[in-house]
Amino acid sequence: MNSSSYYRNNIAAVYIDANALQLEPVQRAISKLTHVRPQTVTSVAEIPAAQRNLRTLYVTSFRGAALSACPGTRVHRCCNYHTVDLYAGCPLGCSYCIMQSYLERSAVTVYADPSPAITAIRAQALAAPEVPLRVGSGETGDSLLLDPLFEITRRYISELADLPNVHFEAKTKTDFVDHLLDLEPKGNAVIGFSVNARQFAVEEGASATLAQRLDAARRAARGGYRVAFHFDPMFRSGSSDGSPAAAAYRDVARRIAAAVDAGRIAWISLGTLRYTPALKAQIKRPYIHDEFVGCADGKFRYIQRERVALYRSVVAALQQYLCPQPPIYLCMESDTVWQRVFGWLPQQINELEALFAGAPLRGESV
Amino acid sequence: MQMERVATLVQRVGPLDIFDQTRLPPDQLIRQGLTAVLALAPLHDSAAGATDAAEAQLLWGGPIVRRAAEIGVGELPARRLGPLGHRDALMLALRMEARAGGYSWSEREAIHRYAGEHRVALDTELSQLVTAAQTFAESMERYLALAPIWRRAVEAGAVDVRTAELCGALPPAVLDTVSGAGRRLSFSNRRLVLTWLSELCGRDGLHEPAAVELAQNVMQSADPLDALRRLRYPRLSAMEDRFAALQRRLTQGTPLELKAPPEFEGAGYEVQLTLRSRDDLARAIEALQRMQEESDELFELL
Repeated sequence: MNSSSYYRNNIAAVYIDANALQLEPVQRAISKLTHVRPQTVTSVAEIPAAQRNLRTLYVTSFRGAALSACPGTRVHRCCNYHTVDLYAGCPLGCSYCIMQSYLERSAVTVYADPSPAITAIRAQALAAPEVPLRVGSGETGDSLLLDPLFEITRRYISELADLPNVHFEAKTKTDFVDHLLDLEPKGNAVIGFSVNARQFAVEEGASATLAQRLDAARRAARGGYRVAFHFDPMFRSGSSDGSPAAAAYRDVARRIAAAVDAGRIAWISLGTLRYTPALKAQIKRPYIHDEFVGCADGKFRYIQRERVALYRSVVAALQQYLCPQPPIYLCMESDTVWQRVFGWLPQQINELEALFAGAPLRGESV
Repeated sequence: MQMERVATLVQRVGPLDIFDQTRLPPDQLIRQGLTAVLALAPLHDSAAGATDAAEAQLLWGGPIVRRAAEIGVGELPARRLGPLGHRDALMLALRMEARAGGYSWSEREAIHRYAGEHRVALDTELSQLVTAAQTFAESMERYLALAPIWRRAVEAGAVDVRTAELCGALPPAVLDTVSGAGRRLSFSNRRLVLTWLSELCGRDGLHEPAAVELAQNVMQSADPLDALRRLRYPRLSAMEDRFAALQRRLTQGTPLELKAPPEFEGAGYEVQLTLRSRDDLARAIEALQRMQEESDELFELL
């Protein structure tokens, strides 16, 4: 992917909140966005209805909660992840994206002032220095898709670098990492890449190819970052030949091992496709015709034993290819699935103990 | 308020005569003039700055007026108002009708058309009067996007808009087959049948002749829902069959009851014992031992 041509082809309008106009990331973006003329507004409501879409950027200063616990999902194991809002909304167009069901008719929002979130992360990290604090900016949008324009991630990385218990993760489906490579110090920053088997590239819209992402991971790792990989969502089948996809995911594991020194991998997560009833109506792709069952959190997932089989197969490949073995965990899965895949719950697995320490089972009282 | 001649009122029925004749007062009340006070006003197009008609028009109560004429009532109570814009007239008519959330889809379509023709904004206030929620504009957009056959099915209460959207690609003959089958399906079962048929057609690439044949075969089976579910979820159905066979083999004639978690999503099985005697206990222990021997097959399903 080339960031300049991507922006030229995919950003049609930019609206900037008056109170964000003087922020450094905004000035930087304005100087780079030569093909559109940004307009100043006093609220998002001023954006014309015809431009409330994912080709429009709405740049604002901080709003809402500075630091939140990942919403996780009811009665499923949570990995104690925290999130900050940086970019909300994503134009990459993945067919399975939950944001389709609620953000499609909104502009992509850029929260251009990271100061409150950085302050909140620092406060929480300093209050419990012995507790690892994993924070990611990729919950509501791609962390790096717009980052070469605004370079907000640099602020997070550099201003959190002195905190040994903070692991800040920028999660992406792009290969836009080069603007971060020269940054020093990096602290525990992690560049996370969502990965999928090549046969499912068509489901990930304008995202970078697997080869591009792995190449970016290699550059990030060589540049001194720790990297992470997220096999999420994993498809069981639904490729053109209808064959189960485990072999393809095992091949992704092999390619990760070939691209990156395993010692640079901070963690790897796995999660099979899941969707809410509202999202189901939006997905018009063949994979939706596979067999899914309702789970305790109201989402639909593949049949439990089929998920377990897929996870086991890919975990075995990761364990085979990667040495030293990074922490591997499941995203939004039940205790039963954890037990059947690993034989243990995350808190009982040495490499994961630190990540999951104190993590509640969502839906449990803490 | 004054009494107006019904013959005059009939001639003054205006463009807001858009409601079904479902809430007519009994004839006896109409004869006694005990109806809501009818409202007459010249309609004013505020955007064009012109009054549509110099003569006052009936804003609400067309069905009452027509019924009064049919049964020979001479006069009805009415109030004459000054010129009204189309928005105020529509709001007044909706307030008089007072059926928020209770309008049929054809009535909603008529309200929507009126608003569109007269540039009346579908704002929150208007939406509340029509749907008792803020969703009038959005729901109409979805309804109007449906093919006519699905709009008719929604209007008839055979399916909801969401199901119609999901199943809109089904050939019309499939909807006819499911709706017209002699066997009466409940609303929710019809929704399931249509949804699964739609998913099967999508999965297997079935077009008109094959899709209709599938629908006919399913609707002729003893249990259409079960027949369809087996086609839509073959692996899950096979697991259920396997579990049912195991269940029979391991618990039939014993004091044990064995239950699997719904759709095999869960941590384990539930075994219930009912003991009425020492013999029951002995049989239960024996059955549990047999279950232990065959437990691999059971736990493979989870």
